[in-house]
Amino acid sequence: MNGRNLLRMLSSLKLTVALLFCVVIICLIGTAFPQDGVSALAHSHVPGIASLLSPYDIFHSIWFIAAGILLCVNLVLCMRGRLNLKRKNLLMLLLHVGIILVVIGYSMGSLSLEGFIEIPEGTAVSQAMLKKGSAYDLGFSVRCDRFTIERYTNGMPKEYISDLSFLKDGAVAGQARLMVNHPARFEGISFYQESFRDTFSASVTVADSKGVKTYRMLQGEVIPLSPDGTRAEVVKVWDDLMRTGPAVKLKISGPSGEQYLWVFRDLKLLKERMPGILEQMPGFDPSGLRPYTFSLESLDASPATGIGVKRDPGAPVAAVGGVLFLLSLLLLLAVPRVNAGREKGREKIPIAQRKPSGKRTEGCREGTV
Amino acid sequence: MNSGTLIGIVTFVYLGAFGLSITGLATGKRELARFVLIAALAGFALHSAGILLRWHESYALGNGHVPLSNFYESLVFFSWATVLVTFVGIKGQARETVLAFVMPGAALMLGYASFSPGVENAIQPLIPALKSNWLAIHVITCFLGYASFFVASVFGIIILGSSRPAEEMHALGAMFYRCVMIGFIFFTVGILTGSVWAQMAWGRYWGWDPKETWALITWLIYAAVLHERIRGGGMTRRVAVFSLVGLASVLFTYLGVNYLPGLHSYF
Repeated sequence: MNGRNLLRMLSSLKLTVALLFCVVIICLIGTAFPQDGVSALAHSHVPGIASLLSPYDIFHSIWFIAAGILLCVNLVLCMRGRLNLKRKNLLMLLLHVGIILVVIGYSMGSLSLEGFIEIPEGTAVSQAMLKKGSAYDLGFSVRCDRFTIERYTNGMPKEYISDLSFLKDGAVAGQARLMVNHPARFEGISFYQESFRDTFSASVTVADSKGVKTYRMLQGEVIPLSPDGTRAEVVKVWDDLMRTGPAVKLKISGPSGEQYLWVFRDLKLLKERMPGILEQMPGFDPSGLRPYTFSLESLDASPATGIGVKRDPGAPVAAVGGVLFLLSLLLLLAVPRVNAGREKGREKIPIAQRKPSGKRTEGCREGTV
Repeated sequence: MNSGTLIGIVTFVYLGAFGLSITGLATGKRELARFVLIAALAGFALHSAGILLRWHESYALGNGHVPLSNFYESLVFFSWATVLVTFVGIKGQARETVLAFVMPGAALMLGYASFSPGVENAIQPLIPALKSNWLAIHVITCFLGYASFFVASVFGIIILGSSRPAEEMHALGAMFYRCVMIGFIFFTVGILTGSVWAQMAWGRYWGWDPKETWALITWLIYAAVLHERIRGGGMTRRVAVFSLVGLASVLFTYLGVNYLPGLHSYF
């Protein structure tokens, strides 16, 4: 194939239609395989053609990007000859420029920030967990002053509300009420109400030969118990375990290894209900780990709000592209339909010029739409 | 009478119009066409009243919102939109033929909405994710797009079923193009408003959620229909075939995606 033929092929509408269907097929694969990132990782070791197709991350695959680039090249080449500024052709040009802008805006997504913060009510957070797994310093901190769930009379949730304060150098620099569909912005970063959960803090008393100490422990928090490296962590909490009330499961790690201990708030009730249980289940004995004796004073639940943290410099570009596309499309329909003549048998402008041989030309510079 | 009963009645009015329509086509009694039109119009008026009544009922329940918030309401609106597009978009004799296809389609959607035990038709208050001004405009434009594509594919079927070359069926080709183009515009607005809403709600305007991806697939297929029409120099059989592929994609975007995990679970 010589250069001229290649150019003709690259600027043909046949290629446009073929490429559109290629993207359709790639998208089909994209909805048939989960694109959640987890599956991609789980299947990353699978060798051969399957991984080459990268079906679990198809929208970042070479196939998708290549099809997209080819489509854009095809589009630009098609538009090349339309630069004569006739009204209709100009609209056609603007319409396709709109698509290119959307593609450019979307491609700028690699510059975007996409993270998550979880703030227990009453506390502040200054780092976001990025989707990639690393932490991102926001440059300020966000405090959740209050998290509220409003409900309808039938109990269905009506609104999730986070009242936030943005703190700079310890002082409140801004405040916002965050709700679903009502994001907040601070210093160029947008915040979205995404989720919530109850977090628990346990008040645990530890007695040993040296004395008695009370710790306030959040779930997952690790507390050092002694200089020899022994530490405790609340790994699980229950509102009501074995119908005796609150309980926590502690992981005690030390020089002698790891051990688990179930600490009940109401040990007396447990012993009454099930006599001999401490002998049967050594893990239930609060003094089972020498020299410590654990007791659970209280277990308090407080809500934590889950907030999406985003910044996407490409979004305005894509938005301009989308609006440009739509406006051109609307105007195109409003402009008197030049080509309608043919379908009503009053042909004025040929839609596809035919070569003397009768074969249709494939180049899309001929004809109108 | 509540809106549910009214919508149930409309199902039978549309079925009646369909019965009249095929009788007319089969027996060649052209005078029946007038009664088809009257029945369809009466059904459409009741249908519109049903939607307004349901809107009113939601306010009476104290959680007023546009009736476009669950699967039942979307079926009722989709059905309404197909009839609307037929009346507004199609003129003359072609409308009679199109009604013969649209009436059973509209009745099927309403019948499924009203009588399938799997479709919940109680009016529920809006969950926080749906409490947005973008809900109405997004759903209305998407379904007007779907409806126009549906009517366009009726022309596709007629053209494919005819023994005449597609290129010669100018009037049908022109109406086909009009429906595809109007559908394409509505659907584009639907996707754009959807992405603005997604940006407001989730902080990303495009996230390859199955519904989003399938909407793109449908949009690309109709883009292919429009380009193939230019390439082929007008209406061809291939364009008609593409439009039927498009209809299959519309149906999957609307119904099939619910069987894939995603964020659009309310429809």
